[in-house]
Amino acid sequence: MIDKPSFDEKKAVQKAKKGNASSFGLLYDHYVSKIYRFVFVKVMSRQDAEDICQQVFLSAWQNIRAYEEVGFPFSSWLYRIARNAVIDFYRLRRPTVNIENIEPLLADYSDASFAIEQGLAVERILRAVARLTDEQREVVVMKFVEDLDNEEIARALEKNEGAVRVLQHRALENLKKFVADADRIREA
Amino acid sequence: MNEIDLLHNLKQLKRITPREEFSRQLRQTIVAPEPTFSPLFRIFSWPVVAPALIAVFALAVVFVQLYTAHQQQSRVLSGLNNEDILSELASSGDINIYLNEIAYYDRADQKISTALAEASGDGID
Repeated sequence: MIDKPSFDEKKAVQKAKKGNASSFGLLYDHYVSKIYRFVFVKVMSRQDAEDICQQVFLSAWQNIRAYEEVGFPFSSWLYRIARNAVIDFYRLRRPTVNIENIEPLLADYSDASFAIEQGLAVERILRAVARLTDEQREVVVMKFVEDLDNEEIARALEKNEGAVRVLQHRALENLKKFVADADRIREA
Repeated sequence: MNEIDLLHNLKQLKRITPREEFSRQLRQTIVAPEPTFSPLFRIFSWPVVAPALIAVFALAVVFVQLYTAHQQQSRVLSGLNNEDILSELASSGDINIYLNEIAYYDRADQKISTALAEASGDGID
């Protein structure tokens, strides 16, 4: 089920472009978790994801007047800012994705509904995602976690829709392989 | 794992969310509410109004100072009016006494001078 905003996004964007902070707050509320997830899956570190996320929204608020909607969805614009922020982050720090960081992060979720089986499933899938290429991870999160359509993803990644579909296919194939490998190692 | 299970598991990644405290603080940082000021304060905080009011006030102070100084000067000068001085003195009887004394001593001096002159002329040869 596609996560549609519970407010008029176009109106909020127009008001935010005129400097209305409350309207940008609505956009922030809708996108903060999505952008955080997108960044987290790329850097696999809570602290780094928070730092980058902060940079993304500050940059978006400072530059929203420059955003033009014509054929360019707001979500794509925001994801592009996030993508560039991660690239800049890599340029400065060059971190390596540490799969060991995943377990402590999942332990932070004290929600009782987050059952152990689900926690293990998330851990398993995250480890597999961590082995994908950068672009494959981006497509997997945007398409299969956040339910963006191919046009939005293509705009965000500055690719055509055909390239996005190819990336999706390869990402899924690799994920199946990585999960199967992990299951084999666990059962051995 | 088949594709359906894989997609279902990928959806579980939606459980990854930022810390509430982080989200709240970042929101406050970005969309901090503007402080509310009374309309009067907003008028006086305009960059043109405040300096203009200060200039008007300064001019008013200078004007009052000048006016006060002028008034004081007028009182002093008006005190030096000859007619007033004379009428004031005339209203006092003392000046007449002084003038009479002066005239008396003036006549006395003349008599003394005359007497001395006569005495020196009849002086011993």
